[in-house]
Amino acid sequence: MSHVVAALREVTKVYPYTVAARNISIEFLGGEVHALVGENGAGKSTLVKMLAGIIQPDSGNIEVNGQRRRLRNPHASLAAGIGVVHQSGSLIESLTVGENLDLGKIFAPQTNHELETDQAVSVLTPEIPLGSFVSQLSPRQRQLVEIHRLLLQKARLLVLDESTSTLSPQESSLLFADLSLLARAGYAVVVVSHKLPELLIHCDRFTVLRKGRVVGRVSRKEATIPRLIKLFSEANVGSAAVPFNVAKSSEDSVTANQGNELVRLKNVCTDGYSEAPPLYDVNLVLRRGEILGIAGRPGSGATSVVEILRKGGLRLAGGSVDWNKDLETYGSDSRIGFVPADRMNRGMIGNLTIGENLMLRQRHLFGQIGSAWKHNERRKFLSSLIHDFDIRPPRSEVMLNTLSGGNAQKTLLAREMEYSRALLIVESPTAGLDMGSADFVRSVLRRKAENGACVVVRSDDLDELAELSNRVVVFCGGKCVAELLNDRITAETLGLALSQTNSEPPFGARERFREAGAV
Amino acid sequence: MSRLVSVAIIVGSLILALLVVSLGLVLLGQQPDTILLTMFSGAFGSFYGLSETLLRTVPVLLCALAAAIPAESGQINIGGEGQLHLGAIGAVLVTGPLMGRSAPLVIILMITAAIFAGAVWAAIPATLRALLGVNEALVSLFLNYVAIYLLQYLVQGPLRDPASQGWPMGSPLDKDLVLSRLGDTRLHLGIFVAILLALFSAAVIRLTRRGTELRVVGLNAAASATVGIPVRGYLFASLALGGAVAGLAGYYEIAAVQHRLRPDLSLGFGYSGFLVAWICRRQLLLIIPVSILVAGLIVGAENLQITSGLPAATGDVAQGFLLLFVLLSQPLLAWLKRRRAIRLVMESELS
Repeated sequence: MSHVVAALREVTKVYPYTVAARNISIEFLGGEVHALVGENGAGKSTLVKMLAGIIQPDSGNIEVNGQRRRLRNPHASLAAGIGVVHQSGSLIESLTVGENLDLGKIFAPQTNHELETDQAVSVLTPEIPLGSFVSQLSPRQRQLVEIHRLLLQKARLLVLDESTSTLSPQESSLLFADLSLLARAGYAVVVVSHKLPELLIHCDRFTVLRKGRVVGRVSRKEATIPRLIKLFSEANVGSAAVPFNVAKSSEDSVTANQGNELVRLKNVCTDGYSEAPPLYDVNLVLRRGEILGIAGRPGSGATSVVEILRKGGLRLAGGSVDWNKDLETYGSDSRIGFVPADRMNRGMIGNLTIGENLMLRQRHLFGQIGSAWKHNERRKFLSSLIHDFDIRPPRSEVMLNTLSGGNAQKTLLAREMEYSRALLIVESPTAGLDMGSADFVRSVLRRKAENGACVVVRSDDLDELAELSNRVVVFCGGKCVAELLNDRITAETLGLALSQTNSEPPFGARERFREAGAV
Repeated sequence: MSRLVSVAIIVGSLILALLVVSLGLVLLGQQPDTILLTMFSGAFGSFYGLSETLLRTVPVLLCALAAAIPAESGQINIGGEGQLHLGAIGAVLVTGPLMGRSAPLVIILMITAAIFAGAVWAAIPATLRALLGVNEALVSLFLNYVAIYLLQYLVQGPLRDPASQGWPMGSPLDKDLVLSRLGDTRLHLGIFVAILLALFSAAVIRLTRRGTELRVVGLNAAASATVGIPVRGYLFASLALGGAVAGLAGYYEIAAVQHRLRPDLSLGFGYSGFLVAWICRRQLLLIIPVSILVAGLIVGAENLQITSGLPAATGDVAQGFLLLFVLLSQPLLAWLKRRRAIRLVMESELS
């Protein structure tokens, strides 16, 4: 039964500045539920997009039923027998289930209802009347309709991208039960998910990805959560050898700093209406001299905390934020440095020079017209920053978009280090950097904290958090669910803290706050 | 480097556009070489032709600035035509209550009113964009029709000249409010004002702090907000300023060319200016020569209509293809750039 339904053969996908997939080979067998796991940025969604025909590999190829196929677009992928259920869903809400299924037939006219006799399919649908509107269905029922439609279109490989992220635990185990049935009927099923506990129960095979490479292939019998997390985080043996505990301050120094409170979040709640996910009753204290890590999956509220701390204009629905008097002033005067994760879109401007980018926080230096004093000051400012941060090429008039990722990162960090006083917030500070640059960035951040500032690090990369932080707070469902200190912080403990908490927002939490008058 | 590429694109696109127009002319049974030569000599071949071309350059150049200044902040102002109309209406409206006052005072107030009216007209899309994120391209474009019909209403109703014998046109301006001409051409001092304004805008945008901030907003609004630049303020101010410049164009059309309000106040100068701004793509100094070129196309096509009976719309067709080819070159350049970036990464990462 376990023949190869589809396979990736040595596929590579390169984006400017990153390699999203490096020579990845994976076989998807009929009769198996196959889990693709890894941290954010590991390359999971790149592989899903390749299977879906949304992007094409730069090298390597995709085989379906032993034949090499070029999946130029999603239609070609479906025609080859690969069906993808995307995270966002592709059903039309205002149409009925039957109409949505018919839409599938329009795009695959050769199919008829022969599949309805297929036992595997018949188990999927009896509970869903064809005449009901999609908008009335539960998330799980929608997934079933999507799967059913893909089966009508003769998909043999089903890919579910984060399908259980919106389901309750009960619903997702029901969904997995249906997936197992499909697998038993000979289909190959691929599940991409963060929820390790449920994957361990239901999946037959695990492929672990990390930074665009396959770092582990584990069968059901061998798989345990600690083992998978170890693979997530430690596969790169070289980086594990870095003695990160040395640079951390001891427990004593943290307690000594307890008087130096910089910011205190008290019972902070925010609405989920804006782009930032909601927060429920968050209490958090930032102190001078510490590097505070913030961990949390997308949607957990970690980014919302950053928005509040950087005074990004996120409105509180309840609670309060007490700023130390150094940070009390409004707007840019409080000199809070911020290095966003999306550097090129939110932090820097590729079509300006290194110098102009460095001056974005010191805009009185802008402009060619001005006194000799201003020109002098600008020259001194630029050359000292470029020298201190070893930005290469060391020429302020070079366009930023010609720089390597590491040097662009140093440019941004230099600007925000120079600008910030008591508080510096950085997101994924060492993402995409080579070893040398990453070491440099870490030492700069540590020096900043030693000089009495508070450095906040938010990252999806648990190694990075473990290496830098004196203290890590873990967010989940809009709440702060765990706090780890000093030596307790390792990628494994962080991974456990993240995977054991349910990423659903607590049911009814908003209503409870409203009753309490907090919202 | 970048300026060189821009010039190459414009020249290449112009050649392609003229080739396509020639093809059309051949299909019509005309001889493209003589036709194109007629157009060229009509626009640039004689002293009079040149003066006419420069006359048309004034509104085209000012409307090009009206699109180019907001374009620096990443906005698309297609409303130059409407803002020009409002400027003309504003300039004429203030003359009514000021009848008989000293001419210099009235002229200054006319200019002020035209600039103000153009700015107010542009402030509508600017406010909607800065506060609510409404697409300024659509709003400014639709307001063109409102402005054109407003002018028609005025010249057929409240402002119609009693002596016009039923023609829809406003009363003529007093003689001392009409701008003096240069020699025996129709050209006026506005050409120098327009060119100086273009040079001044380029200098402000390239060389000053405010100008740099404006460009930064246009290059990356999210990053600008991160570093504390008042993004909304720049969006509003640049679009309103653009409207003010287009309003000035309206003043010159009234005070130097038409001398009264007419329904056919503009030969589509707002759109021609928009085209110039997008052809020049952030190369502000290029706007001056390209405006002269496009004004030459307009004058050349008028000449064509007189001499060979082809419609003046031939010039519009040429303009349209010119813009089309310039726009087509952008994705081509982007594709080439991406190919290069990927090749560099492949070489360094996978070696």
